[in-house]
Amino acid sequence: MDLKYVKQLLEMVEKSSVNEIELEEKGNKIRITKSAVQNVMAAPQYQMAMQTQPASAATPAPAAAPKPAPAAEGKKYHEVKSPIVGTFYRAPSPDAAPYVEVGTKVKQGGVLCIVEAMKLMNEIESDIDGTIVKINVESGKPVEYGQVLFLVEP
Amino acid sequence: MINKDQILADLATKQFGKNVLSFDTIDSTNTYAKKLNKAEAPHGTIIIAEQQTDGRGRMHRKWVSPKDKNLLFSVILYPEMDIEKISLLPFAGSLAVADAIESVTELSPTCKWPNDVLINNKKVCGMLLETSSGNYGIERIILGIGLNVNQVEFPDDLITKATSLTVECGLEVDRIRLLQKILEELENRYEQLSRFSAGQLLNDWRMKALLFGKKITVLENEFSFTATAIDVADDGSLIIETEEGRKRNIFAGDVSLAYR
Repeated sequence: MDLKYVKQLLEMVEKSSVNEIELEEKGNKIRITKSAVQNVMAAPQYQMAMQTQPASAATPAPAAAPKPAPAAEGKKYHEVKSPIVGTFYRAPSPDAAPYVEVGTKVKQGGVLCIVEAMKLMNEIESDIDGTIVKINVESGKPVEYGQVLFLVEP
Repeated sequence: MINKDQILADLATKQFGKNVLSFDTIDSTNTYAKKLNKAEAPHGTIIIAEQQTDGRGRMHRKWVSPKDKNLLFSVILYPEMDIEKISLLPFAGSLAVADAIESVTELSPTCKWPNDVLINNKKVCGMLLETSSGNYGIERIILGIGLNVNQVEFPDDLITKATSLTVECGLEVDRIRLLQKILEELENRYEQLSRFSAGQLLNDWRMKALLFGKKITVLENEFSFTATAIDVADDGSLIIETEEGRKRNIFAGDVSLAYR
């Protein structure tokens, strides 16, 4: 990320009523937060964190059951939702391995699960690159339209 | 082997079946269809084979069919309709096959929720509809159809459950004519669904429905129970009444007549 660009961002946040922004570009993440204590005379204080994409677990979680991830509920995760009412399956057939586990790295267009309705087998694809951080539904259970199925960390 | 020229001769459709990819042997017509892009296989394209080495149904169950006897094909659809109607394509498919059988033979097929076609309570046709969607929605549907036409012998485990047109009517059936008729009916049903309310298609489907008012066995997620089939809802789900008198809707699972 270009330093000039970061400076422009700082100025933009300073002038705006926004207290915090988070951006990601080519694997680089930047978060700018205005300090809670505003000093009228001095320029606002900033906390700045710049980091490269955190490396996630290389091996998928071994357990078949989705593991609860209480810290994963924040907004920063991408939600993959069900486009239809139906039944959720984690694998293409009962004796096959699940498409993904918590920790699996997925590519945009990669299949995450199947939602079946009236024998229409709908392979739900990830619409971003990322890592699965939470699987919200147990295989074989009904899902509603718009229900969040997976949380993906971009 | 059924070839493109035979299918195209006298085919009275606008788009369905106008682009034909025919094979002697293939792994699965649905699997092959999945690999094609829109330019290679536009709306209405069919992939047909005389034999599949990896024919499959729902949840990768095997679909076995002897060579040169039956109809094994997939229709590629790029449906320009909303998701509620797309969910009803299985009904358009089974109704089209049932109507085509009725017009080419003297038989009276019935439809079992959501998309099997039966004759004398035995399955003669199964379908596997596959699609994929990201958050942008559904672009393409692959409608795979396996129809037992001139198959005479069945394996022991299927003999009480499966049948073919020739077994039921005692005559050899012209597969080309039947396929053309299915494509014509399918195109009509597709247009009906896309232009008019879903209720029209479902009303026609109800006329051929087998299960309503009958005791059925529901196999849902490896859990089996008995219920009464009541009706099909506007969204395509099956309305059942459990033995405790509770009504609910089923979106996925296997249903069969409890007593035959």
